[in-house]
Amino acid sequence: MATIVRKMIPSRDIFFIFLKPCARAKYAYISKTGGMLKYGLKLLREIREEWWPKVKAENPHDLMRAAEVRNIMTVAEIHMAASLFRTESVPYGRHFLHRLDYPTQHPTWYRQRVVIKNEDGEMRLYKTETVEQRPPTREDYEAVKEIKP
Amino acid sequence: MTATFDYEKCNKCKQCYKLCPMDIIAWDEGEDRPYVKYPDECQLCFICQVECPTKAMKVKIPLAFW
Repeated sequence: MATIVRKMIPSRDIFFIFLKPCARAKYAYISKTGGMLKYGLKLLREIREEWWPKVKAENPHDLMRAAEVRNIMTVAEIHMAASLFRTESVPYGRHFLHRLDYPTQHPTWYRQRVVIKNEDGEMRLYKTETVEQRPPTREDYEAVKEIKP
Repeated sequence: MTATFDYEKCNKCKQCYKLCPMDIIAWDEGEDRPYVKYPDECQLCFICQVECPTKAMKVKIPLAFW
């Protein structure tokens, strides 16, 4: 963590300088658009590639803040990539997502879920179908009763 | 701020500075007295308050603590 780079930034400043104003609060707020999300992702990756190697930690307190910021960056990137991948709006009550460029629900996303995997250090997004969710019927209860003594 | 000092009672024995397990108390070399450098990392173990020989240290439990 503590490496010698030409221009060091204290790790506790990076959150307030870069992350908080630019990434989550501005480009992935309640109402999202594709362009905003793309620009936010670009900014976030820029921060990770350009500024993250320059962060220094002078003591364990700063190291803890740096680790927190790294985790926040990962979570923000996952959040924005998933919002960009799902091209529909989902109403409040299921999983809330309001995209201004796709203002309605879409049948191709019916019972579909976004799954994100880390494959060789790259983030891959998949669309997977969920199982049908229904309340148990009388037959289900009776099947359980038969198994039990 | 969870930990507060009464500097009139403090006899500068450095017990709080030596014993704090989270290392939140730092020593001000210019003023020659302890101060709380990382107040948000206090785990409320009360070691500083218990071990202070002159009772100059006071730890308050914040209202937002659950």
